[in-house]
Amino acid sequence: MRSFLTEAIGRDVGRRGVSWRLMLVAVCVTALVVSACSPVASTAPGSASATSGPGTSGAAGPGGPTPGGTVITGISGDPPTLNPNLTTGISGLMVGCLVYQGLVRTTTDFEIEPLLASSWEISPDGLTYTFTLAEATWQDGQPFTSADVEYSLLNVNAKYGPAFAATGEAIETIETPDPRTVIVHLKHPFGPFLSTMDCEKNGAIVPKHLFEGTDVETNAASTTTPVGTGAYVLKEWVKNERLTFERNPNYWQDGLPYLDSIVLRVIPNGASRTLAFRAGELNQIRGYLLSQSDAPGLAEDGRYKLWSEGPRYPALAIFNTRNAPFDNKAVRQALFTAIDRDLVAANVFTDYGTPAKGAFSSIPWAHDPDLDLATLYPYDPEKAKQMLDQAGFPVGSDGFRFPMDLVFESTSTHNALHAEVLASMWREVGVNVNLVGLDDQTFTDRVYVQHDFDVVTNAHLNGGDPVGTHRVWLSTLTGPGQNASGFGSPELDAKFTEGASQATREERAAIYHEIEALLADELPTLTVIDFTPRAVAVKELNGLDLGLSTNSWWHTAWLATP
Amino acid sequence: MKLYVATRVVSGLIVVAAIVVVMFFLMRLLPGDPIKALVGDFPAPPEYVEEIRRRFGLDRPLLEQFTLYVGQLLQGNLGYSFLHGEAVLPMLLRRAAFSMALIIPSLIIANVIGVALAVAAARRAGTAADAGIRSLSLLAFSIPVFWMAQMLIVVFAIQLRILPAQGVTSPGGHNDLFALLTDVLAHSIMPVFVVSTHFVALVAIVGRASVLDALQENFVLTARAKGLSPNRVLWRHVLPAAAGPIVTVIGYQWGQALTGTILAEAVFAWPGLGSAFVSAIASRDHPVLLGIFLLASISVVVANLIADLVHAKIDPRIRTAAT
Repeated sequence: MRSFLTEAIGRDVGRRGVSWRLMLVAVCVTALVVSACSPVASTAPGSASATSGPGTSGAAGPGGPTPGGTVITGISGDPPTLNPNLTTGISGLMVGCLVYQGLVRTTTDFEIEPLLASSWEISPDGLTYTFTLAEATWQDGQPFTSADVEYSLLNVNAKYGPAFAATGEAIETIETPDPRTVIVHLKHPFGPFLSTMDCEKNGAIVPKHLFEGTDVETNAASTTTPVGTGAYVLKEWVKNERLTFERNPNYWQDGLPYLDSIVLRVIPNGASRTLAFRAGELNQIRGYLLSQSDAPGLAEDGRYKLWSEGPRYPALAIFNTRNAPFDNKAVRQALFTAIDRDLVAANVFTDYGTPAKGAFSSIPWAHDPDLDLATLYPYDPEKAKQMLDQAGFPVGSDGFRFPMDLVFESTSTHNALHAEVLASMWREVGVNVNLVGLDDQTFTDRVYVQHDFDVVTNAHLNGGDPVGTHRVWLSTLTGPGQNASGFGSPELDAKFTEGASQATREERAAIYHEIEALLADELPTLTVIDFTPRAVAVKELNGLDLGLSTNSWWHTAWLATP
Repeated sequence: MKLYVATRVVSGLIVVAAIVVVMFFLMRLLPGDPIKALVGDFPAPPEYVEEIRRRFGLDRPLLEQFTLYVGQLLQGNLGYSFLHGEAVLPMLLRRAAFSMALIIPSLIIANVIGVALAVAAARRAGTAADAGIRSLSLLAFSIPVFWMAQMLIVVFAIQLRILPAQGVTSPGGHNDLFALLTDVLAHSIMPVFVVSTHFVALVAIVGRASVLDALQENFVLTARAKGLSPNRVLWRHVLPAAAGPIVTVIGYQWGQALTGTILAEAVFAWPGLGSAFVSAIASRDHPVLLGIFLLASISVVVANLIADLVHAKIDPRIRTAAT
C-alpha cells in the first residue's frame, strides 16, 4: 500500500509494482516449503534513454468537451478501505476521492479552489474560517449540510485521518449557524488549514446520517457501498480485478462529469501495467504507477501522450547524523560537492527531473528565489577530496577514507538507480560505499525504526506545503516515516512551528526562507533532484487534471471521438 | 497398504503442523509492520494505531497470539486479513479456484503432450527428431516464466491483438454465460500456456529417459520377439514399466506448479493464490500468508501421497516394500 504524502510516494515513482526481485524472494520462500529452489538471476529493469513526451493534457480540445465514454486506468491493488479519511495509501485515495469530496481541492500548482465550500472568509488573526457551502446532495439523495461538515471534521477526519491529525489538533470548535454556513475556530493560527480540507489530505466530508453512532471503520459506507457527494458512484467491485464507477446522475455541479464510467483495473505489476496499456486494456496510467523506464518507449508511439505534470518530488540523500563521520557538517558538505547533479538528472531522472535549488524548491511559494545549491556547492570532486582531507579523513592504507552503508529500497527503480550513481561518485573521492537494497517493509524498519544506515536515498512528496514534510526535520519525531537523519534542534522545531502558525503564505514564506538557508548550510539531508514522474494516456483523453497526487479529479476529463 | 497410507497421512499432518508453527514465528521475525499497509506511511494518530493493533490482536504477547491462532485453526477458522478485513479461508478458497483454473489444465496438457513427446523421442533415440525434442525441451525448461509471459503478451496482445493481456475477464458486462466463458477462456490461454510449458519440458525429459530404459529391458525384447505390434509393446509393456518415474514427476509437479503460478499470475494480473501471496508478503498480512502456507502444504502433501499411491499401484515393488 502506498502513501502519497510521505517518502513512500517517492519510492513508488517508477516502481515496477511488485518487483521481480521481490517476487523471486516470494518464489524462493514458497519453494523452501514445497520443493527446492535454485537461484535464478533476476533481470534488471531496462534503462531509460532520453526522449521527450510529445504533449500535455489540456482541457481545450478542438471540439470542446463531449460527454460519454469509458476510461480504464490501472491501480496496483484493491484499496484497504473506501473511506479516504482512513488511509494515505494511493489505492485508497484514488478510489475514495472519486466518491467523496473535501471542502476544497488543490490544483497541481498548489492553488486552492472551492469544492464543497463555494467560498470562505478568513479572519485577520487567522483564527476563524467561515465557509459557505455549495448546494450539494449526497449520492443517496439526502441534502449535504453544515451538520455533515461539523460531524465529519470532528469525529472522522480528526480522529482517523493520518494526514489530518495536525489540523484536527488545531480546531477549537465548530459552529453551524445555518445549513449552508460552517464557522471553524482554531486554537492557534494554522497556515496549512485550508489546504488540508482536501480529500487527498484526509479532509473528505462523510455523511453524518450514515456514520453517526456507528463504527467508522466497519461502516458500509467505508467498506462496500460508499455514499459521497462526488461525481462518480461505485457500481461494482470485483475483488482483485476491478472497480467500476458510473456517472452520478444527480451530481451537484452542472454539466459534470463528462465520462459515463471509469474503471480502475487492479494490475499489481508495473511492467504488466505498461503491457496492458500497449494492448489497449488501459487508457491511462498515472505517473507514480507508470514504470518510468517504460516512458521513453511509449513516447515514441504517436497514439499516446506523455506528460510530466503535477507536484514535484524532492529526491533526497539523507545522512544518519547519529553516526560518525556523518555527524560532521564538513563531511556532509564535501559529499554534496562530490555529486554531479546534472549527471544524476540526466541518467537517473531522465527527462523528468532537474537539480534542486533548495530544500523547498519543489514548493515554489516557499522557496527562496535567491538560494541555489548549485552555486553554494558546485560539483568539484578535487575540492571534495580536499574538504575531506581537511575534515580529518585522509585516504587510509586500504585506499579509502571511511566506510558507508548506502541503503535504498530496491523495489523503487529511481531510488535504486539514484543510490548506485551516488555510490560511484562517492567512491571516486575515496568513500568505501556498501550498497544495501531492501524491500519496502524491511527498508522502513531498518531506516526509520532501527536507524541502521549511514545514508539513504528516498523521495518525499510534500503536498505543496513544507508542513507536508516538516516531520522529517523535527527533532522530536523518530517514528516510521519521520525524522530519519536524527538531525534537529529545538530552534529548528520552533521555526517550523512558527512557519505553520502564520496566517498568510507571504508571512510563512519568509520563515521558510530562513529554514531553507539553515538546511543549505547544515545539509543533514541532500536535496539532490526535484522531479515529476511522467504519466501516459491515449491521445483522445483530455481535460484530466491530476490534482495533488492521486486520480481524484476526473470530473472534467473527456474523450475525444476519433 | 492401509498401514502405509496411515503412516503417510500422519507424517503429512506432522509436516503441515511444523510448517504452520515455524512460519507463524518466522513471519513475526520479518521486519515490517502490517499497519503500514493499511494506513499508508504517513504516521497515523497513535490512538488509531493502538485501536488497529488491538483489533488485530497484535498487542497481545506472541505466545498468546499463537495459542489463539491454533485455537481458531482447530475450528476451521483461518482468521481475518489485516489488509482487507475479510475472513481468510473463503478469500483463499476463491483465490485457489482461480489458481486451479490455471494449474489443472496446465498439468493435464503438460502430461499428455509431455508423455507423447517422451515416447516420440525415445522411439527415435539418437535421430535428429530426438535431438530436436530434447533441445526444445531444455530450452522451454530454462526460459524464465516472466520473460516468456511478457513476450507472449507483446506478440499476441499488443502486436496481433488476438488475445487479452491481463486479468480474468474484460471490463463491461457479458450478455450470457457463453460470452463469459469465452472471455475467461481467452484470458486463460496465455497463462495456461506459460504454466504448462515448464512441465511439458520436464515430463518430456524425464519420460524420455525412463521410456528409453524400459525399451532396453529384456521383457520388451521378448515381447517384440513374440511378434507383438510396436503399439501393443508400447502400451502393454513399455509404458507401465516407464510410468514410475513419470508419475513421481507428475506428483512433485504440484508444488512446482503452485510456485510457478506465482510469477505467471503476477505478470497476467490473474487473481489467484500466487498474486495473493505476493501482495500479502508486501503488506505483511500474516493471517493471509499463514493461510496460503497451510493450504499449499496440505495440497502438496496430498498430491505427493496420491502420486506415491498411484506409483505403488502400478509398480508392485513399491507396494511390497511399503507393507
